[in-house]
Amino acid sequence: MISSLAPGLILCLGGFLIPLLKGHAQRALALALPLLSFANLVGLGFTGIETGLSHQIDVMGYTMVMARVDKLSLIFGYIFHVAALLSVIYSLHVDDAKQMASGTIYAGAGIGAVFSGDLITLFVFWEVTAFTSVFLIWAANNERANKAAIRYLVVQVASGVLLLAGAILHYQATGSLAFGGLNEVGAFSELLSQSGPRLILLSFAIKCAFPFLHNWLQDAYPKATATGTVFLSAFTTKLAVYTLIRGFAGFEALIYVGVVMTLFPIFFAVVENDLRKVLAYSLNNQLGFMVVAVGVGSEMAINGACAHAFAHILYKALLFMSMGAVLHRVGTTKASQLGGLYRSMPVTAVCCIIGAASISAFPLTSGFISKALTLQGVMDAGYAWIWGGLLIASAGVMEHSGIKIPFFAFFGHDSGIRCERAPLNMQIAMGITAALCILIGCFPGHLYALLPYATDYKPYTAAHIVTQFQLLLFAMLAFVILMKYWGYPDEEEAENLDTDWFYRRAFPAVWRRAVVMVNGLRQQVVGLALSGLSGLMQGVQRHHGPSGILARTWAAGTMVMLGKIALAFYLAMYLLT
Amino acid sequence: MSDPNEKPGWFNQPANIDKLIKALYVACALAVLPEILDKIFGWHMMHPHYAIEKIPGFYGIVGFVAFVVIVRGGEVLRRLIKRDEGYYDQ
Repeated sequence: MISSLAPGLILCLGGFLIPLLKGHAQRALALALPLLSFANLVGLGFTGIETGLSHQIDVMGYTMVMARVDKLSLIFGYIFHVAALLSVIYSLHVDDAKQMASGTIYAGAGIGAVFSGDLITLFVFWEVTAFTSVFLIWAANNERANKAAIRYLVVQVASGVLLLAGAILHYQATGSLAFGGLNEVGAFSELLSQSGPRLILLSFAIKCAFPFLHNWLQDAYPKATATGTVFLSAFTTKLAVYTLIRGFAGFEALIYVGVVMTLFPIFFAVVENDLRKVLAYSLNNQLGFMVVAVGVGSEMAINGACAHAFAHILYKALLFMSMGAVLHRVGTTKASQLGGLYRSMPVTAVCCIIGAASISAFPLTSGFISKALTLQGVMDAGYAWIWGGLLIASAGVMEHSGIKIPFFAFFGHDSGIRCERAPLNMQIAMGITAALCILIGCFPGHLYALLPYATDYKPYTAAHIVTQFQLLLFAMLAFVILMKYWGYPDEEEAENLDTDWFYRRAFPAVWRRAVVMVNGLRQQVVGLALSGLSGLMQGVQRHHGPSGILARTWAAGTMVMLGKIALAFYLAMYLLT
Repeated sequence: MSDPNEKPGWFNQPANIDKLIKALYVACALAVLPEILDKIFGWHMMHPHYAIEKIPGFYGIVGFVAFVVIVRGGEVLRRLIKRDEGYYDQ
């Protein structure tokens, strides 16, 4: 007898009820669903399924494992619930049932995917996250967003198809569709010589925005609604981090991929004018830290990836919330048009600074106590160069998220814009999220207790605090010196190219060129054929036409004459030979 | 929009910005100080993992240099990737 529902199902099914209600009842339901779902998840523990496999459903002879509950899935399950609730609170002022419903189902699918015990269940939830999240981009309701939403959907569905193909190949090779056992990480790390796990890795890589596969993120997220981006920032990519841990922890190549991911987006973030797109690049950079940790694969590093994902979901949501509030009130998040907003939106400004401090990993914030585990894991495993790369990337985080976001939106040059404060529900959501960032930073033990492996790591050592302050304060000093003396690049309104150029410009252009060429070639071939045909017709006309030599009626005398000539020729030949 | 007679905000007054910048200079000095005292008095509280971390102010140097390199690198990148707004809408 199952006394609880599989994790995620309450949100997935309940989400469909949201459009049936109106006004306060709709909002109450949207708020109640994440709380109910969370109670259900905690209830799994009380019903004796603290860790283990449960909620196995037979579908046409195949057993789907809907709840694989262990410490790794639980920590992601918990933070996904927190993110779902905060995103709902943040969206309460929006009277759009479609967005609220799709956001809720999307969160539920993310949770369902985390607890999936087999590849088919994972694939189902994987695709549901794609199909529901796309509505949050469509809801922005403008042509650019609509086009980006289609591109986003194509990429996400492709990732799902690769996952399914990989699962089928893996089943053919091994007869198993299990996605690792209980408490198991890196289930497929040793199987990468086979094509099934390779396709699965590629599928995860797309969703985790690996270099060259990343640009769907910066293309789509900044074009979603102010509230939609907050939902989006939490689930899709962190689900991918979770599946990477589960499937490919300890696969060394991920370390190098990860460090590239931490480094290249910071340069794009420097030049980007749209602050929500800056945050999208910053999200990419943060994923890099987690991917490095997954690649290292030690207990310390896996703890680091999980802690970082947990903390990151909160501070990244907080930063997107603050920019969403600006977008809601001012109508743009272009740095070139903003500045001086701290006077109109003081709460938003303070929350943004807390988010910025957390992502930069200032002591007493969540970023400090989570990123430290990853860096320690990298150090312990002896990757000195990678460690150096991550240090540089940390200075980069300080640049784009720590300074650029709050400075150009709320301080800097006063744009003269005066607006209302953010809606109360937005302020409440930001306030709670900011408080969590600080609380986790001040009391890291609670987060550490949730990590997959027991740890007695102490983040607050004198050395760690001093070195981190040095790194961050001197980065700030560099900003001041550049601003005052050496020159800091202006914010410029521009479209900055990235790999999306290939599929938005190059491939369509090549395609158009190819169509023109094929058309030209076809015309030439047809023209040639036609002229050949008409030449043939003329020839026929000349020889067989009314005056043609072969159609002429010849006199009998001529025939006798020709016969005589032929006989004379024959005689001559006979005599000569 | 802002009222033309409005007083500039605290953060928009140059004198206050100067104060903040001075505070940052002091904070930077304070961030290096413990490491130097540690060297002088031999407290051994820094326990560096790599030899390079023994350079006094190593993390400060990394923070400063990396920041400048990233910003300058961004300027180079901008020359390559910058197009007019609406480039994709044409």
